[in-house]
Amino acid sequence: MNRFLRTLLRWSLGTLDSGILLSELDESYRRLVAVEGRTAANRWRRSELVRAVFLSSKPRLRASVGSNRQNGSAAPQVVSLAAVLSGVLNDVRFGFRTLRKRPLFTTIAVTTMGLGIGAATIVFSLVDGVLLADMPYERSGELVNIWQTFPGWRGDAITSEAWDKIGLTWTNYQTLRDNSQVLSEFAVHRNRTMVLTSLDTPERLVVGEASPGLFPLLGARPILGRGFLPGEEGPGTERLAVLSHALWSSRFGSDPAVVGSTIELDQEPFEVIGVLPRGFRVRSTIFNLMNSSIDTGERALWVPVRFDKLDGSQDHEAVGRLVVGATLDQLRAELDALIREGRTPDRLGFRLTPIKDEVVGGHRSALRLLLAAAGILLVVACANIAALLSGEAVGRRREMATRAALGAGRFRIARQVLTESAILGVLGSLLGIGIAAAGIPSFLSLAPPLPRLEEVGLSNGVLLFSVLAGLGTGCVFGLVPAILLSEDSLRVTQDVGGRVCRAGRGQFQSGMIAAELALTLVLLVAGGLLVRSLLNLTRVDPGFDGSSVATVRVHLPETESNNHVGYGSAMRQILDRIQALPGVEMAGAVDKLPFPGRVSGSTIRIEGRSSGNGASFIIRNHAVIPGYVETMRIPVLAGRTITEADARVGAAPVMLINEQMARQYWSNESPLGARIRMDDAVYDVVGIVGNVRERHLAEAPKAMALISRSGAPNAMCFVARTNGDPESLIPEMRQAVSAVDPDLSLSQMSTMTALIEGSTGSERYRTMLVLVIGILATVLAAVGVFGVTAHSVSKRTREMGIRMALGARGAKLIRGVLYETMLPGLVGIGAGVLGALAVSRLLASYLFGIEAWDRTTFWVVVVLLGSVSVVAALVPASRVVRVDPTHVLKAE
Amino acid sequence: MTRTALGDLEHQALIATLRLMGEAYSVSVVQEIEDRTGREVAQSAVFIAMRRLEEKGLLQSRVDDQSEEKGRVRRYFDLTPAGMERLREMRAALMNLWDGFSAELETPR
Repeated sequence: MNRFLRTLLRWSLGTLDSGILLSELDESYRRLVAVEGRTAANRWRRSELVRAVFLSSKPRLRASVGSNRQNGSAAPQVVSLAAVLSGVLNDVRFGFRTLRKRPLFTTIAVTTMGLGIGAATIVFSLVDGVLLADMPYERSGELVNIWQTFPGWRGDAITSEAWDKIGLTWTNYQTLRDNSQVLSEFAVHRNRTMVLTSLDTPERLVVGEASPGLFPLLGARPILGRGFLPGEEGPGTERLAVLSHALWSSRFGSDPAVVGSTIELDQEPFEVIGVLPRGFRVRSTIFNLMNSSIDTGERALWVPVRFDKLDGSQDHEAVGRLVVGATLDQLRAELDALIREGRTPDRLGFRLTPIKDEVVGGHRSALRLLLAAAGILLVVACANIAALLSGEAVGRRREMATRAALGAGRFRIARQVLTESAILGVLGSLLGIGIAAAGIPSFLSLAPPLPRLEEVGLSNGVLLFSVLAGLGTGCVFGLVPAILLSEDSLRVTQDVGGRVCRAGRGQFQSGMIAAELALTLVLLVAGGLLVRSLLNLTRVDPGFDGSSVATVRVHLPETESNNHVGYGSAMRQILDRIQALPGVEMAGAVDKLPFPGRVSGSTIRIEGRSSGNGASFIIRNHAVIPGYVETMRIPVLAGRTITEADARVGAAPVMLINEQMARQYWSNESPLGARIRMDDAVYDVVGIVGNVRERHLAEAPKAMALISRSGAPNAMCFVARTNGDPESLIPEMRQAVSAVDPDLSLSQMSTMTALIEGSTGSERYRTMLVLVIGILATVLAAVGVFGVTAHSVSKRTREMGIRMALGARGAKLIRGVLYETMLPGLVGIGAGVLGALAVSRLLASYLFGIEAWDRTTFWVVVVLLGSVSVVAALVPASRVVRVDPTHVLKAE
Repeated sequence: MTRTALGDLEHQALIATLRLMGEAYSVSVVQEIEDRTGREVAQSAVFIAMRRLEEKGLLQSRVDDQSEEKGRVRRYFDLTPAGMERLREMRAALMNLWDGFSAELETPR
C-alpha cells in the first residue's frame, strides 16, 4: 500500500520533490515513533501520504530546473490534470450531442458494431470457458495426467488412443505414490455405476472411486466428516462412501447426521464418512459409463479405489501435482529411470499430459477456427464503421472549418472526433454485450458436447474483451476521419455553397468497401466449403442400414458379469421379448455399436501361417448375438452369417470378418475356413461381411471381426428393426428389459439414425457457426455498400439534376453511379478470392470429400456476393432518377 | 494584475518562513505554526503549499542534501522580495480592517 502511494506521489509531484517530501516526513516519523509508538506513527505516515497524493494531483508540479533561480524566470510548468480531464469531459458531452443530432448514422454505426462485437464476444466466451480458463482446481497448472502406453503398438492405428491411454496398474501406482520426488501429490480415480438401494426408489448413480490423495490433490476439503485415509485403497477396500454436495442436498436433505450413517450400494452396506463441497468435479477422459461423449465430471458419491487385477491394465486415471518449479521433462526423466531400473513390471511406457490439455486439447484447433471467423466479422464491422465515419466526415467539413476559425487547434479537433468514435465504440460494445448475454444460452444449448461447457459464460475476461474490442475499433477506425477532418481544418477554404471536392475521401471509402467484400468472401468460401464437406459426410454409406432401427444398451451389475451362464440366459430372454414386440421385424445385439463407437482390439494369430512378424495382428472385434447382422442389414459378401446354432453353449466358436480384414490378410486366397486364434479360443471364419464405418463417418474402415460367444462382456446393445417409428419402440424395449430383470440398468436409448447424426455433431456446429458468421458479414457488407452508394448519390444530387436537365438519361446516370461503387467491389472480390485460396488451405483438415480450392464453391460465392453488392448499390443508385432537375436548377 | 488570494495555511506558512530565517522546511514550519497558533497542520499540506507559493514567486527554495545522516534531504524555503512585499501588503490590509477594533478583541465581555 505504501509503495503504491509512493509511486502515485512520484507521478504527481515528480521524483525530486516526492523524494524530498518523503525524507522530511521520515524525520517527523522517527520523532513520532519515539513519542507515540510505532502504530500511531505508521497511521500518521499513511494519512500524510494519502493527503500528499490528493493535494498534489490537482496541479502537477514538475521539479523546477535549478530551484535556486529567481522566481519569475524559472516558473515550473504546471499541466493541470484537472484541466485535461475537464476538456475530455467536454468532448464527451459534445460528442453525445453531435451523435444525437445524427440519429440514423448513430443507429447504423452502433448496430453494426454491436453485431460484430456481439458475435465475437459469444465465440470468445466459448473459447475462454473451454480453452483459456484454468481448470477449477487449486494451482491447476501443476497438475498432470499420467498414462501408461504400449509404446511398440502406437504406430498401429487400429484402436488408436486405446493403446496410448491406459490406466495405471496397482504396482505402478504404488511405486509412483511412494517414490516420486518430482510429484508432491499423487492420486488415481476411476468411475463406475452403482445402485443406491437404501432409499425409497433405487437409483443407478455414477460413482467415483478415489485414492486417498485425490481430494487434497484437487483442493477439495470435505465440508462434513473426512475423505479417505492412506491405506483405504487397493485390492480389497473398506466399504466407505463420501457423498457429493448435490446428492447430499437432493437425496439426504442436507442433513448433517448423514455422516456416520449407513447406506446400501449394490446391496452392500457402506458407511458415510463425509460430504464434499459444492461443485467438485473430476473429469474422466478414458470413457464414460453413461455413454455421452463428454464427461462433465459430476459423481454422485465416492468410494475408495479398488484395484481388481493387480497387474493387468486398468482404467485408473492418474493425476499428480508437480513439485513447485518442477517441469514435465523432469517427471518424464524420473519415470524413464523407474522403467530402466525395472521397477515397473510391464513393458509399458508412460505418457504425460497437463490435465487441461487432456480435457480440451483435441478441440483447440476447431475453437481457434471459430475465433478467427468471429475476428474477421469484427474487422468487417470495423471497416463498415470506418467507411461510415469517413462518409460523415464529408458533411462536417464546414463545421470543422468553423471551429478551426474560432481557434480550435488541429489536435483539439482530432481529439473531438476521436472521442465521438470512442463513444460509438463503447455504445457498440454495450449492445454487443447485451446481444452476447441474450445469445449465449441458446448458443450453448445448440452446442455439441464440448468439454467444460458448463464453465462458459460472460466472465470478467469476456466482458473485458468486449469493452476493449469496442474501444479499440472505435478509436482505431476513428483515427482516419479524425486525421482527415483535422487536416481540413487547416485549409479553411470554402466556396459559396460549402461544397467540396471529394478526392481523398472517396478513395478511403472505396478501400473500406473493397476490404469488407474481400473478407466477407473469405468467410463465405470457408462456410461454403464446410457445408459441402458436411453434406459429403452425411452421404457416406455407413455400411449398414440404420433407418427404422432402435437401440438400447443393457448393463449387468458387476457381481453378475462373471456368471456366464446366467448372463447368457438373461440376454437371451431380453432378445426373445424384444423380438416379440409388435412391429419388430427382427432383432439382435452387439457389445459395442458402431456409433458412438467404443472400440477394443485383440491380437489374433492366423493358424497355419509361420510365426514371426507377419503372423500376429491386432484387429477390432465385436461380440454379437445372432440377428445383429440381419437387423442392421450388413451385407454378407461370402459364406454365411452367425446363426442361433453358433450361439448355443458348447458350439464351436465362429467368426465373421469384414471386407477390409479379408483384403488385408488374405490377398490371394479365400479366408473362408481359416482358423483364427484370439484370446483363449480358436475361431472358424465362416463368412465375410461388408465394411461398417465406426466412430465417425470419415474414418476409413479397419479390420474387424464379429464373433459369437455364449458369454459376453458386461453390456450389450440390443437393436431392433421395426416397420413403424423406431422412436416409439424405445419405451417398449425398456419395458421388455425390466420385465426380465428390473435391476438391469439401461443407457444409450436411441435410434441408430440419431446416433449417426450425433457423431457429426461437432462438424455440424462448426459449419453452422461459420455459415452464420459469413451471412452476418454479408449483411454488414451489403449495408456498407448501400450506405456508401447512398451517400455518394445524396452528395451529387445537384450534379445529377443538372445532367438530367441537359438531357442525360436516367439509366446512364445509374450506370455511372454503379460503376463507381462496383469498381472497388470488383477489386474487393478479386482480393477476396486470392485470400480465400490462401485461407482455405488451412481448412483442409476439416474438409471431407472436397478440395480446399473447389471451383464450384468459389464460383457460387463470387456470384452470390457480387449479386448482393450490385443489388445493395442499385437501390440507392436508382434514386438518382427521382431527382427533379427543375428543383435542382432553381436552387442554384 | 490578477492575483489569487492566499489561503489561511499559505499565509501562515509565509509568516513562519519569515520567522525561521532561512531554516524553514516542512518540519520546522509545522513546528512553528503549531507552537504559535496551537493549530495542528499536516506536514504534507505545508510542503505542497510552500511549493505552490514558490510557483507564485513568493518563495524560493534550495535543496540541501549534504547531511550527516545518509539519505536525508531537505528543501529549505526563503521569502523572495515579492513574497516580502506581499506579506507587508497583507498585514497592512488586515490592520486596516481591524482599525479601531482591537480593544473589543482584547477585553472579554
